[in-house]
Amino acid sequence: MTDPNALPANLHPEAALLPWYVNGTLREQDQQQVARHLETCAVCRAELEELSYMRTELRRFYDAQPGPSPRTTQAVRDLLDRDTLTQGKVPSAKRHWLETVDSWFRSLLMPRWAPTLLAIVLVAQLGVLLWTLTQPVSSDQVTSRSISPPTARLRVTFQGQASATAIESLLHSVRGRIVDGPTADGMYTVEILADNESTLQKKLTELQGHSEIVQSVGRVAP
Amino acid sequence: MAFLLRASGKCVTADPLHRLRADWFEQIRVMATTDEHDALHSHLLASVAAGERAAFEQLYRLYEKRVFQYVSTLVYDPTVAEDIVVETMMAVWRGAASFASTSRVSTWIFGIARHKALDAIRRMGRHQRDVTLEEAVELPNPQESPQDSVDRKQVATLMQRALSKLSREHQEVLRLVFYEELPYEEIATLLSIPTSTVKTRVYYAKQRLKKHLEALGQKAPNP
Repeated sequence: MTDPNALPANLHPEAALLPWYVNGTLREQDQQQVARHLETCAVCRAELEELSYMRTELRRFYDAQPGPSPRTTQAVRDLLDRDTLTQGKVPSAKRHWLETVDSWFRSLLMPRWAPTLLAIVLVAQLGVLLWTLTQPVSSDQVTSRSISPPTARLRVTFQGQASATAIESLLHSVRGRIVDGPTADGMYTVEILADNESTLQKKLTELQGHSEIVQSVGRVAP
Repeated sequence: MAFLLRASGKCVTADPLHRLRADWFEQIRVMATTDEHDALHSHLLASVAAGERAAFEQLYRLYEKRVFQYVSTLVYDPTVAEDIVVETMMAVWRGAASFASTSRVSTWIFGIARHKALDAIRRMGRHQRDVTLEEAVELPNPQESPQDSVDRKQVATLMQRALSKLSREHQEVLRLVFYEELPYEEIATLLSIPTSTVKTRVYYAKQRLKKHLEALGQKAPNP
């Protein structure tokens, strides 16, 4: 009785490697050793012929054997769909539209690209903040919601032939705006930014200097 | 009775060097193809790990039949084998990220299938059929007269009968070597046995398959 755990004593060591010489998976060193042995050993060449034939017939046999029934594929698809729903994996192309919408919303909650998007948003916000801080700020552009800027009110009558564009341009140059008017006699109330008396006088003079636009100008008593 | 090749009158090629050169080129072709397949399967498995269902479906198509047939060499119930295919492929889908790349993808997948098949065998216990060598020797078909030539279908039938007389272990290693084309190191990993045992098991599996084929009166067709 042969020992099933040991090769026959008279078997060439290379013969035990022949099955893998046939299937082509031997390492190069073993491959060369077997090839050299085959050049001189007729017994192993005969064994190689048998193994090659056996390989061909076994491959032909297994190729012709059936695979599992279609229910196997369907069972795998069902389980995949279930996994997709519970774990938010890639959705199936053939699902109810409500399931697709559901998966889409789920994907929004845990998308893989969320950290990247978050980083981009943070960097963009930081960039905007730095750009804003580096911009020169005009003092008269700064306003406060709780403390009103220093202003003065003037009563202004414009020339009848002055255009709206010219009036607007003049008021812009003195940082002023119409806040009331016109009255029955054509007088407007104009508010201008002026943090001290000299600035106010300067702007009054500038307005008076444009007689083609301004007919009269005077201060409103505080 | 002589074995296939000698029985059919086919002899070893007169020029051994010519034969060896032909073998060498064939092996280079097989190795290149095997490497390409393994690279493709590794790529697919990486995509599966990333949650790509299309990659999984491609991998499933590549392995569905192979896993089913491999498992069928271990469990003889096709329904159980199909259940194991489902369990195995779902384990691949859910655990693709755990593939450590220390073996071929096929070895990893067959390893999963094998464990599940062995679990099924344990559950089924004694209801499983397992043919011993002794049984096989007793089973030549007396109604089958010797024929000088047999067609491919008859060869397949004889091969099926001869294989069915082998033990699970012998059927398994023959399939792993000649159909799955795994290196002996990978088979040792898959079966958790030493490489020397792999060589021994394959040697005796081949010898017994040869004996069964001879006992069944097979004559090899001209290739």
